[in-house]
Amino acid sequence: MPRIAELAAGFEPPSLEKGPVTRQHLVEWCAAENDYYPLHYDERVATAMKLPGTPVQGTYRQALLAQMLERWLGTSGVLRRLTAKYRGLDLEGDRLVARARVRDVEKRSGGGLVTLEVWVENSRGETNTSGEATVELVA
Amino acid sequence: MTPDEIIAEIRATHLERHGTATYEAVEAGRVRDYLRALDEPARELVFGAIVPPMFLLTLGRTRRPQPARGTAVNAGDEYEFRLPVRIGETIRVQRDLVDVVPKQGRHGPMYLCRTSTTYANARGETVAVSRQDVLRWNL
Repeated sequence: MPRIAELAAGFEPPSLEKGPVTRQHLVEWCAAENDYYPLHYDERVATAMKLPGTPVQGTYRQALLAQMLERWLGTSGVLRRLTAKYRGLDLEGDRLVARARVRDVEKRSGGGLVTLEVWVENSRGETNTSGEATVELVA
Repeated sequence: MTPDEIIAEIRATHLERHGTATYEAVEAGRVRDYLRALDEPARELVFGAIVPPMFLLTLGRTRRPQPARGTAVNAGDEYEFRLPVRIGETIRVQRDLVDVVPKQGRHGPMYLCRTSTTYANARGETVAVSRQDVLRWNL
């Protein structure tokens, strides 16, 4: 588990690998988030939108980023902020890897705040999701 | 329809769907489904246990969110987590339409719809806030 005193800019927490993302994952995520937008499980809808495949939900990709950070933090800290911009499509069948890199460490009495850049890579060499996270660590 | 008429329709549809706050119980089964959808190992989900912060994205959703007309894609999400949320709590979810900005896309006019959501516990404390950008076109 991370310790604030040992962290510096450039450190990369363990990445989180998922996939290949199947139709089952996409439908389970629809159920989990209570949002059945058919674009994410009906390729006829994706085809009508001229998309090359059934896209993975943006919220799933953001949740992977949170999952990666929570596994790294364990009981030593909490997630305070997480942003995600979706600039392209990850598709059914892609493998996804959530990654992070420490950008800034602000030590405070009893702990501190760590800002990280976060992103998701797919198995086609694309980074379609990127953002920033802030976690609060105890000393 | 003119851009002003389209924006007025977007605002009216939002009010129809989200004009009233929703109250949702943080149920162990919903948390379990969220974790399973992320392939997270099973854990004990007892009354009072703190839930993963991103679980909040599952609250206050409409099961059939697709717009009546046109196409919509999620362009970005941002969450700030202020207080822990526990199984057994009831969370008040209020989703407000902050802005609708007309843009010119490759295939014609688009509309960037920005919403802000506030999550509050039964004591009236804001436990989290989120912002979402959705792009709409073919309207």
